[in-house]
Amino acid sequence: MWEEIAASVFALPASYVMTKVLARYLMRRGSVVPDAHKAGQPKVPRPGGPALIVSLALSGALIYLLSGDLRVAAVVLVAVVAGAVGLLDDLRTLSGPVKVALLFAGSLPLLILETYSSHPVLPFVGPLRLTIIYPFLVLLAIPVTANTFNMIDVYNGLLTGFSALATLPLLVAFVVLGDWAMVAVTLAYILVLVGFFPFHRNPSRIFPGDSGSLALGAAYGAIVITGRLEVVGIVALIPAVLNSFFVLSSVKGFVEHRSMKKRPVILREDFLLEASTDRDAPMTLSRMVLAGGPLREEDIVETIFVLEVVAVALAILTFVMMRW
Amino acid sequence: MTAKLRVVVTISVLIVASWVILLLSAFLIFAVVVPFSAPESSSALVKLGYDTAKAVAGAAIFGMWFYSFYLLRDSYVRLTGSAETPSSSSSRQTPDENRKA
Repeated sequence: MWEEIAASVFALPASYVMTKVLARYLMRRGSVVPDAHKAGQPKVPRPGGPALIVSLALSGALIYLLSGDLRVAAVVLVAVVAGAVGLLDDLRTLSGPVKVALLFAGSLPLLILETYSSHPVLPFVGPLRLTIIYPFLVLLAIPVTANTFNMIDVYNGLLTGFSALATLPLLVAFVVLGDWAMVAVTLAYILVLVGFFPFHRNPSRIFPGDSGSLALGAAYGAIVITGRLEVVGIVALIPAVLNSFFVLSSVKGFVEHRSMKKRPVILREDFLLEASTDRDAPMTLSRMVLAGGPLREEDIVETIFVLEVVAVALAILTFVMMRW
Repeated sequence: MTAKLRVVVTISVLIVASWVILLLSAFLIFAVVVPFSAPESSSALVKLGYDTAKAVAGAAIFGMWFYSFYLLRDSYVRLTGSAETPSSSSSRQTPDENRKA
């Protein structure tokens, strides 16, 4: 148990050092994008996803070697496959439907290694028997979680902070269940984010890109499925799920955010962000947050973190109800 | 209450509402609809009727869960009084000049 936990701690320095090195390399190579919400639109290196993926893969491999638990290998493989799809999108922009289709490959490690249980547990209901339908749900789950994370990656520090918060209820649940291999891989996931966050928080010195957001979302989905905490995982993501639903229902389908004609949020000359007054602009969580008036980028991120804390509390309550 | 706090409280209420709806829908489908089955001695036609009723009830609950997101979005528009945010209500799409006095 302690060896696996120690192996997960390796994720923190690995992520920090790799992100620092990658940010410098990308800056030298000119692989930068403008930070659209800042004065003068400073250039920020992108994609930082490879640092997240490699540090999670290294610490995951160590945990797997020590525990021999196939679920750990499955989580790492899912992150690597989804991260590879994201990297392809970072280098050559893919259309929304193509990206979703390729992400189905991210589910394959879970299905091939059979690291899922067809008996998810529901509060007040207990374990279900979904022998036939569950593999299809697994196939769907990874593209869904990957895209849900991808859709919240819109402000400095939001994706990494949100992901770390959303994973806390899973960590608590695995500790209570005494599932130490899953504790280790979940802790590694959080520590990878902790190592990356100092570079991603406002003002960002690196952007994760689609390789980062898709890998993080897919790995989250894999942790939830292999750890049999499906409902807890969904509840912890409610703010992001609401965001995805509102966007998809506004634009009526999978549309690449770069090709959205009307922006949900407008940047003012004083660099405050305000909700678009255009009724045809897509509805997003940040547009809802801005209903109270214009805010600075960091205030929007802080507000979404507060909302995520509410979801985290509900996710922990859901876990308690599952054990009742 | 400041505008920012009002927004946080309103979206938090929305999050709690969607949590309750999620758990309630899952409970209705898996604890009420799924175990509902015809007695062993029933004819094939009666069993088919039970299965059809289960499928319809399951689809209806799933549909209501999906529709609840639209209702939550509209509630948010009403609670915050943010007229600029879109709503699924068709009357909101009507240009002001076309509205009856």
